[in-house]
Amino acid sequence: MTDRRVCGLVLSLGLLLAALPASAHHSFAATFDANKPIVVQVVVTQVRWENPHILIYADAKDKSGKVEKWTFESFPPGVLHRKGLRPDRLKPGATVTFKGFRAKDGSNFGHLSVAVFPDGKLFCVQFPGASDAVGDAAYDGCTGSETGQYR
Amino acid sequence: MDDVRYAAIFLEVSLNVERFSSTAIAVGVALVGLVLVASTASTRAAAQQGGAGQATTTSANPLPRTSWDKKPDLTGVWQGANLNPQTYGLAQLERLYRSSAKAEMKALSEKDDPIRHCMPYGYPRSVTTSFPFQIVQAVGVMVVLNYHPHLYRYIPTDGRKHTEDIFPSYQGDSVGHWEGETLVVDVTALNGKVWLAGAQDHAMPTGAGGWITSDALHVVERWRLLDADTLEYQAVVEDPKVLTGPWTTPKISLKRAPIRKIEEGHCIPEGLDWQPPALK
Amino acid sequence: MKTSLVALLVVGASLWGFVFFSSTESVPAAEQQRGGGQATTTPAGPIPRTSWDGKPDLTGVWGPARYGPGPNQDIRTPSPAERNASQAELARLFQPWARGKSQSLTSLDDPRLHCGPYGFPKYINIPDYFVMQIVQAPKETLVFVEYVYSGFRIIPTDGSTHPKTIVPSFLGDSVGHWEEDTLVVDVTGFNGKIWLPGAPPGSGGGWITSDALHEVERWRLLDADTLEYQATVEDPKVMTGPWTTPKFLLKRAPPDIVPHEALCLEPEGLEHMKAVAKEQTK
Repeated sequence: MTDRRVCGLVLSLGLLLAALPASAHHSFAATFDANKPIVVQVVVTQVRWENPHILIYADAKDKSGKVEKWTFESFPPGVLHRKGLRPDRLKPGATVTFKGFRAKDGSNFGHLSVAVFPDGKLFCVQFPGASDAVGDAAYDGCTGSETGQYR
Repeated sequence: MDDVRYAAIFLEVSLNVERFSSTAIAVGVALVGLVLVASTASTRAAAQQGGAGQATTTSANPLPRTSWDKKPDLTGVWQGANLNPQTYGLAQLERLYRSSAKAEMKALSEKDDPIRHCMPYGYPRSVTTSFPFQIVQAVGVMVVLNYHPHLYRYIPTDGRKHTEDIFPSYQGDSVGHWEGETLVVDVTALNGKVWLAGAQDHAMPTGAGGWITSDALHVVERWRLLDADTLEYQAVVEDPKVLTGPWTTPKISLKRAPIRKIEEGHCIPEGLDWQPPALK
Repeated sequence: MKTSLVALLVVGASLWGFVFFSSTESVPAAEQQRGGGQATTTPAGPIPRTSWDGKPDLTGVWGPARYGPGPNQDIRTPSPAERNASQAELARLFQPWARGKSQSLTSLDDPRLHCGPYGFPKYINIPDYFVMQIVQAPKETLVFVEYVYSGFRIIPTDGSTHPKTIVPSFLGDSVGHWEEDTLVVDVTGFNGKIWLPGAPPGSGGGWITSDALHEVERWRLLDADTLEYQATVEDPKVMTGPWTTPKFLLKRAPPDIVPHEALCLEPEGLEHMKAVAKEQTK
């Protein structure tokens, strides 16, 4: 029996934040919605190479040209580095298309699954288990064999 | 060379005596082999003593050396130097901080110290605490094991270049090479969050605040075994974003600790307090 | 005369070979990171051995061996059926109260949420995207984990015994010795907070342990690229008898795969999660 990997924020909804200790390494299901796949073209404004989760701040333009601010969360920096997603590409000013899943509350907060760059280079940062909920739309170009491998 | 000549003479004598049994020949060859190996070994031993920058040792207290490359072996548990602001040379460091950085320093206090949030002490600060740490030297690598927080530091010692395109981190990217008997370690790719000392560690009455660094921090360390039980550490710290010039630490003397291995220190960040479910 | 000379040279040559045999190169730790690893699509080479004692050299970066014929896969790895049978046996070995306790756990109880490393044998089922590294030295073998932080185990192999007083920990206190080509490691001094591999059927938690946990691990190389791990686990406070894991396999990772700094939770990370939680609970 393989372990379900959990990596998301764990908090029981309805409990006061102050009363409950926060946790490291949280579960996808508690924060993100596997039924809310997103594809967002952005320009990166800041990358926080932090443990336990890398955080990417980016600007997307909506249909009217208005700038929408987005935050994407992903795996620890070491994991992304092994997958090839490194500071030379993932940096302020980079244009990139992020595919992933939106936060449950519908905010501009996403879990990063795939990063596609203008030169066609693809980085599959899939989250195992999440891909079952949606079709291939969010995962074009990722074969699925990336799941579970260190890159 | 004398050893080789003796071996050659012995060989010549053996060859000229047809009646020697095969056993005698084998023994003769074995002796030749041993002599030649011994001469090679003593030649190597002589060569290594001639290296630049060697520690002065007496034959009564020779440096332990690794078997694969005969370099000084730093393996063991070492007692942290437990320095104070004076013995750590912090007055000199304080004078090097840019005025722009000083304002940021003063706004920080002990509660902001990353080590209070289970983050690494970094270097050179790590060797100045009272905690023991452990070194294991293996082929092509020196590993430094920390007690608190429970983290390891991996230092390739084969003279390679820094990792390409690495993200910044608390411990940075370390690469080492030997200069004679001294291991020189170059550290880059630091994330600017580590402090060089504690907020309470100020040598001057006017000094205050956290010893901040930036992502331009660059540390060059020199690790040198003085004798079997004494390890000398010194570092040059530069950080052009916060310091006006490089800071060289004093030569820090670390003594071997009388314990076999360090323990697993467990640091729980504030806010993650937790009791395991009670059994029965 | 000529025959004697030839015999002499032949014997001499073999003696030379014998004298310098001990310098068979093991795969240096640093080399693993530069280019010493082998692709698993070609047959693996001979087992590397250390230059100081000729024992198999476990040094390297190791990743999970999925079942299959491809890279990082191995058909010798325990099959799903074998794993299920092993879990069923573990369940049978648990005392009823402990089985019930384990069954009631959820992912919220996971020690890793509070910065507790996975521990062993659980970490051998390496979490997706992470690796394990071993550095073997003359007097000790080090095992590095990457989840939930860059932790380490020190396994003395110089005949050291467990200390009289052990401060309980997640990774335990280890002592190792070689039995032929197998590294046998005795582990004790656990803090009772780690979980064993797997979980009771249908639960999202894990199998609890106590501070009476005691493990004997067996590490050996099947070939230059395959590391086999098996552990016998006993815990008289929660189990009725010892449980032996399947023979888990790890594959040598490609040379450019190395561990990186992993920290459980940076202060900024904690702030971020609190902020997210605040949004979620609005």
